Formats: sequence, structure tokens, C-alpha cells
Amino acid sequence: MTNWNAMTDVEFRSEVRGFFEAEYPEELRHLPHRPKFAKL
Amino acid sequence: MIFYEEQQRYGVNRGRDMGIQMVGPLIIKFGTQAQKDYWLPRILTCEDIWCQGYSEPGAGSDLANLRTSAVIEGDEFVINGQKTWTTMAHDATHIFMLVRTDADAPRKQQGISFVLASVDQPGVEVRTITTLAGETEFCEVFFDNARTPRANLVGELNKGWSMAKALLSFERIFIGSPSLAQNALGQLETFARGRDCFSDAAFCDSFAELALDVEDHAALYARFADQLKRGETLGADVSMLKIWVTECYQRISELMIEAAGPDGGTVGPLQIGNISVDVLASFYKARPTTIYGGSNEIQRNILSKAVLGL
Repeated sequence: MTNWNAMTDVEFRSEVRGFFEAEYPEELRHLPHRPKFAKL
Repeated sequence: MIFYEEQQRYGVNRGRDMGIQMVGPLIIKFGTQAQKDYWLPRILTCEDIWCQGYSEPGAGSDLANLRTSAVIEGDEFVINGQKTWTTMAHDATHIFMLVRTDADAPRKQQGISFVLASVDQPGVEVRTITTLAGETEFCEVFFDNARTPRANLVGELNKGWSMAKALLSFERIFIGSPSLAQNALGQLETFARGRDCFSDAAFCDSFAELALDVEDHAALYARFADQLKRGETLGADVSMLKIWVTECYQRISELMIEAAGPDGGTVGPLQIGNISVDVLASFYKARPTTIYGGSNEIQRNILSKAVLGL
């Protein structure tokens, strides 16, 4: 299991960035409104 | 904070994160062990979705004027009144709210308490407010003999004002994040390149000025973020961040409208090559940022009194 507390800020940022780029659906980027929770 | 910054940078839509960003930290700081044990895991799993019940008709910028009352009856508070501009209340299961628990307190900041309540109960009615952009993000919430257990009081009875201020300082560091303006600037740059705006010297001047303001703001934000990392409490000067980034964001959205020329009033995304940018939505989205989380006029009052000693 990842030990988040052991990571430096730079490592954590890189991990989060990589996660979004790999996993976050393109069609949900920059939505002009806030969707309901169920949509997310 | 890093997670939130990266969310904004990549254009990830914020979930209902008022639990994580606002009431969670407050429960960690002021809650009882039982409250921590019960609420925090539910926040993390999104079992409970929170909204913030602060503003009321007649008590927005002057928040201490709030009139929604909570009267103790046995082991419960009975709540009556109205909240407004409650973001996404129609999608929330719970509300954290400021209520008046002593109407006779000598100062209006006294006699206010901080309570947690379920939205899904007979005494609570949520009505959506449609914005200029046609969205229904904001709500009015009406309380008619709504009930919540006394165990849902966070902190001491009638001492909610100091917690409200603490919570607003959490909010201000988040609202003051540079990623809001950085993301908008990135969209402006993409749009401007697609429209060949950088061949216009006047546009370049405006863009450079905004880009430098965004950089300066990011440097200031880093200073406050370091303070938080050292475990220090943020002072009133954190208000600078919110003023700076929201006004910068508005100027970026205005330049984007200008760059779009006659298309600036078009509803919906504009196609630039293989990407689309919704310039009007960005403009609308930037409007309320100088109002919510404590209006920029209030922030300037705080700076003038608490920081500059005027």
C-alpha cells in the first residue's frame, strides 16, 4: 500500500497529475457547471 | 492542497468536497472524539455529501446578522429559518450550519452555534436557484421545525462565531489557490493561439500583464502554503489571496471574451481546431468568485482593519 505520508510534495504532485491524466475522462474536463455527485 | 491544485490545473470537476475541505478540518480541530469517529470516515467515503449553510437573506457579507434559530428541546435542536446561496444543497445529504442559539446575546457575534444536520428530513425543503448561465448550482434551504441531535453541536454552545471564522480561513486558502487563474490563463492561451491573437501587440500586452499577475500571486500563495505546512495558523492577511486570484480570474475571462470578438456572446463551446473552449461559461463562472467565500469588499475591510490597522 502506498505510504502517502512518506512522499515528498513533488512526488505526490507527480502521482496525482499522472493519475488524472491516465484516469480522468476527457469529456468531463473543464465542465462549465458542477455536475451532480452521481454523474461523477 | 496539492490534490486540489492539480484538480484545477487539469480541469477536473470538483466533487462535493465541502466535507473534505471545510467541515472535515473543522471537526478535526474542534470536534469531540465521537464526532471524529463518526463523521470523518463518512466524509472520506462520500457516504455523506455536505453543503454549507452560512448565508441567509440579509446575512451574507454581514454574516453575524443571521437569524436561523436552533432551540434546544430535550436531546435535540429544533431549527427554523432560511439559508440561501447554498451551493449544491439539492445534491447534499447533510448541511453544516450556523444558527442562532441565544437571541438575547449582547453582541450579534455571540449566541451563534455551529451544528450539523441532515438535509433529508421532513422539516427541510431545498429549492434550486437558476443562475444567469442557466445552471442550478445554488439553492435556498428552508427549515421548518427541522431537527438535529444535540450531539451534532460542534464546539461550545453559543461559540460558533470563532469556528465560523476558522472555517472561512480554510475556505480562503482554497479559494485563493492560483490554479483557478492558472487554469483560466491556460484556456485563454489555447484560445488565443487558435485565433491568432498573439499577432496583436495590444493583446500580447494584456496577456503578459495577466500572466505576470498570476505568477506573482502563485509566489504569494506559496508563502501561505508554507505557513500551513509548518502548522501555523493563517492570519487575516490570507484575504489578499482571495482578492487577487478572483479579480485576476475575472480579468482573464474578460480578455477571453474580447479575444473571441463577435463570438464572445455565443452560448456553448467554441471550436478551435480539435479543442473546444466555452468562453461565455468561463465569463459567467468568474462573476460570483468575488462575492462568495466573503465578498472582496469584506476582504478589503478585513485587510484594512486587521492588517493595516486603519
